[in-house]
Amino acid sequence: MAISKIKRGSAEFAILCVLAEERLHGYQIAQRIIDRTEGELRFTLASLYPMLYALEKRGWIAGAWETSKGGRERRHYRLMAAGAKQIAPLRREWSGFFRAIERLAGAANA
Amino acid sequence: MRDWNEIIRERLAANPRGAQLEPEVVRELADYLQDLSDDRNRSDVLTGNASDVASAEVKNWPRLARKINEARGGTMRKQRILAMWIPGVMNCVMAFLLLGATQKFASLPRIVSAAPRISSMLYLGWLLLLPALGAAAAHWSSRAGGSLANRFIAAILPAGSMLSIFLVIVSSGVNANHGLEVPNLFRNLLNALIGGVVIPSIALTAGAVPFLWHRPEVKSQITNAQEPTASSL
Repeated sequence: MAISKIKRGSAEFAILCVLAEERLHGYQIAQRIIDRTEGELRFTLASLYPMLYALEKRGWIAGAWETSKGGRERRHYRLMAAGAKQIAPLRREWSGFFRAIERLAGAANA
Repeated sequence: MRDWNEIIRERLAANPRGAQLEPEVVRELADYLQDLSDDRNRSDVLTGNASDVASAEVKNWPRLARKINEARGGTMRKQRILAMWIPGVMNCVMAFLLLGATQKFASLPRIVSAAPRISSMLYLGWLLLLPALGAAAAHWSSRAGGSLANRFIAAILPAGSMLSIFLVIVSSGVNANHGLEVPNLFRNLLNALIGGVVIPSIALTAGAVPFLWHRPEVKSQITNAQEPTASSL
């Protein structure tokens, strides 16, 4: 349970990070996260879209129908200024969290 | 080709107490399943049937629908207002203003016959301006991130308004006549429909076409899918 909460908390951060690179539609977001995390973070449709819509409602990302390279129309998402502002503080927070966990694990193994 | 929209709707309909999703959301989820299925086919991964693919991605469809509806709140409604209704209504206002101006300042309407006994009264100057209005509305909708349907509806909304007016007039006229037979009624109605709705629709659509098919290209690549594992979120 604790592990899934950690993963959920990191999921929003993961979405913001991949959208900071370029506009992507939902499936591309999921695939990009799988690739970058080497499979550690994986989204299903059921976990991805409520999160995307929640971020959109907050104004952190915005969706629009566009034609992708394959010629199909897909709803693409882009990072908004409000969302971009969240990335640096979230990155610091997660870095601090993982350093703390590493210290704890190091102390436990000592 | 699997109809993922239909599969999603069936899953939602299976539980009558489950929340429903707006068509645009269903389409977006269907697109995801389509891309997932295509990627697995390209990777020669065993896909199973469509039901298996959908079940693997979503265990509880009504719960998903409720979560999405809670998450979205008014987002989609706002998007539709910005990308369809505002451009469409402005298009209507401009079309009717131009029609009024044409009637007041320009030449008399022309009678145009497409076939024997089928002729319509047309303000040619106004008709020539309609493609520009259709183009402007479709372009506005496109810039606001509207889907193909949004852009099309924004472009032809003036014709839709004329159809509504036409239907109101017809039903009022029928009631007023109390069922009395009016000579050439059907032909007159057809002529009015062609001149007031059909031809303007064609003109508006003609102007909108470049903006219906041309969308900003987004350069990105879809990577190959991997088998879902227990580490899914």
